[in-house]
Amino acid sequence: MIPPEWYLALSGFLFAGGLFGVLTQKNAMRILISVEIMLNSANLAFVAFNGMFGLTNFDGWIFSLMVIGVAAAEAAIGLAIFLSVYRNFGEITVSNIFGLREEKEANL
Amino acid sequence: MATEVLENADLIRMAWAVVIIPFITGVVLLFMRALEIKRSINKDEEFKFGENLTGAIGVAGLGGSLIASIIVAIRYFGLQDLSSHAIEHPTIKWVVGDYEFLPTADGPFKWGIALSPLSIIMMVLLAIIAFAIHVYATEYMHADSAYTRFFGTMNFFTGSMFGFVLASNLFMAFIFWELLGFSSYLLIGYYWPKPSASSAAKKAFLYNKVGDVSFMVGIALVWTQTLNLGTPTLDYHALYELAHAGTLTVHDMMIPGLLIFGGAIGKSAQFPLFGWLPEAMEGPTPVSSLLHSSTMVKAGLFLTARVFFMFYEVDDALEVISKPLFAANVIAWAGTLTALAGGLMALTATDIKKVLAFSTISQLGYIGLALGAGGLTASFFHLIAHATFKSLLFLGAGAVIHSVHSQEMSDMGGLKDKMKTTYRTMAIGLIGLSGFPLSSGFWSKDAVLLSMESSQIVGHVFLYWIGVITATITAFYSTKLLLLTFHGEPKYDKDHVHPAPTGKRMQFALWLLAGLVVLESLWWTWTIGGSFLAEAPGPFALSGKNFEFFLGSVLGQHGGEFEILGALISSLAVFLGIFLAWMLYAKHSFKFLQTNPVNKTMYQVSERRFFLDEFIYWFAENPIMMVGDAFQATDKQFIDGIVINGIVAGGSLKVASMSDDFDQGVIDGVVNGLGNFARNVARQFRRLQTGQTPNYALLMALGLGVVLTIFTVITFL
Repeated sequence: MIPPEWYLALSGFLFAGGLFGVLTQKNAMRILISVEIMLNSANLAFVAFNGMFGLTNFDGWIFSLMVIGVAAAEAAIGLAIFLSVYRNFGEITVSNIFGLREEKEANL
Repeated sequence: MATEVLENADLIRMAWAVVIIPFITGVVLLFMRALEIKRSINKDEEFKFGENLTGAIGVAGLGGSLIASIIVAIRYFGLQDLSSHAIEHPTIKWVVGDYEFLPTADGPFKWGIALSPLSIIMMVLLAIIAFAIHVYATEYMHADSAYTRFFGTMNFFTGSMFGFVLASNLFMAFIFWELLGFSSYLLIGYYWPKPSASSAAKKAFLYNKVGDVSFMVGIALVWTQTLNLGTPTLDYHALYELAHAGTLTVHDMMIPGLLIFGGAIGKSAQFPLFGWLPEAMEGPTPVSSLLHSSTMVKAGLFLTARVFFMFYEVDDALEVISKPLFAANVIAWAGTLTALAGGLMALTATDIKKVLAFSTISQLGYIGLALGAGGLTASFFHLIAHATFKSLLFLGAGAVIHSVHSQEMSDMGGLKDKMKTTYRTMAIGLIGLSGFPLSSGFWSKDAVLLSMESSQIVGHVFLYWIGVITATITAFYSTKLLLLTFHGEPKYDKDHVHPAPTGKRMQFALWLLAGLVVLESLWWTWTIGGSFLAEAPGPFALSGKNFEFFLGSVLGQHGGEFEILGALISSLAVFLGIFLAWMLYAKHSFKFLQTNPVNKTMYQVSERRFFLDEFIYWFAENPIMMVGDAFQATDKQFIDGIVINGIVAGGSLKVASMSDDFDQGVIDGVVNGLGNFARNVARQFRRLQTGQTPNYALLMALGLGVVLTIFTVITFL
């Protein structure tokens, strides 16, 4: 049997990879996929912990189901936002969309 | 002379009315004038109240005053015991009503009225003359653009003189004295758009100011002297009593007395400050008439008479004034110089009003001369006579000027038939002025000369003869004036000037005053001459005595008895003057008098007024300017240079730069430092706000990592 630590290590690896994707990718779609990877790494961690400690209850499983639900909702909303962004800006490259920032650095 | 003080509120109230009525009408008229100006500006066209209205108000003011003053005089003399027995040594009752006006630590300054024979006689004289002049002016000033202002100022002027005459103390007298100076300034500068008029007004005001300052210092010294005695007072009566009791000696009073006489020098145009009086002819003729007869120029001499006890000690037993002092000599000599210089200047004047002005100076000198010689009664006698005929002469001259439109005597002549009333009345006045035997001027001048004979001042014989010479000169220019103006060939421009008889109201005033001169002449001839001839005065005597004796009794000083020799000398002097003038100007002979070189030089000297004005101008310009320049140099170099520029300016610049440094360095430094600090911090923080979503995510992740790390470390340690 594969020792549970390996599952956790895989989960950590996936989380790091997803985080790396979120931080580095410029395309919103890729970021969303990276986020999904991070969520799924979390699911894996839940399931692994439940297998390690939860022999009498299934909290980990239930939590992972919840996360899957959240991820689905998130994907739906995220895609809707991307559509809207695309409609407004003509692209979904996040590095080109910085309306929250001031136009130029003022000489204060 | 013994005196006592009565209180009589009714009489005092009536006397106040004399002062206040002209003031009220004067102020009302001046306000009406202000209204006229305002309306003229608003409506952009000339607006005037009717001349009948304003003239009536002006005359009514003086009329009311005249009636009140006559009532006061009658009631006042009713209080006195003037029976023929008592008149020899009368106890004169003063009526005083005053109150404390300005309390000071040492004692109060008072405000009130003192009625004494001197002030009562002066008041009545002034009221009659001023009334006549106002009536005259209603017609003379016809169609003048500032008719209302004229009457307003005239009433104000006369009211000031009433206040001065009736004042109970030197303090109040000084206030009215200044009002008199101020309103005379307004009247002399009545035609102020003319440069000569405004400069004449300025000149009069400044010359008077010199006297005013002297008067003020004199009052202050009187106050100090009485303060030293423990009874600080400025009241005439109290001062009189102090002097009478010997508490206040004439030695104490010498300097204050001289200073007060300095005031009289300015106001009464005595030597050397008479330069302003001829210039004062720039005012309208009624003003000259009022100014020269009974108001302005008489104020100074009246004041000197009022404080006569400062110059002479009164010998109680004999009731004569004796023991002249140095101050009295100064007055007598100043008066003599004035009399002679005024007469000589009158000889060469060509302007009819200026002849009369110089004649006024000369006659004022006569009055001063008598005062200095100790003849209080004689001087007041001459003051009365002079006031009457001089006002008459000015009114006559005004009528002539009105008709000929020129003041130069060379533009007149032959007016005798054209202006009969003026001719007759002026002839009466000139007879009085020249001192023709048995005229009013004769009797008063005789009294003046008599007072000099019995005087004890230095060189009184010399002064007597100068007085006689002046009488000749007076007769000479009086005759010359009459001949040049009314007799001979007409010299006016016949195409443009049509001399016409004088108007009704002007005639009324002329006859009123001429009547007074005639009345005085007859009355005095009758009583003084009568008492000389028959040892008893005629039917018009006062208290069974002649006028001069009566006046002497109530004023407390008797002059010498009438002497035939003195009268003969002065009569001869007068006849000589008249004869010379007649030969020169009627017969046109005696030309050598005009052509010889000595007289030509003298003529020029006289015409240039003995260089006295020039000296005063030089004095005002050079020594005073030199002192001024010295002060200015000190000011510039020491005060401005060292004190102001060096210490004050340099010091404050240093302090200012120090406080500037502190301000910029410390205060601004702290404020700017805080601001810069906040900005620098903000600049660092702003770099976080890139707008790049991944950056935010990175920060979130890092933050989460930090939190987790801390959490982990805390949990496991």
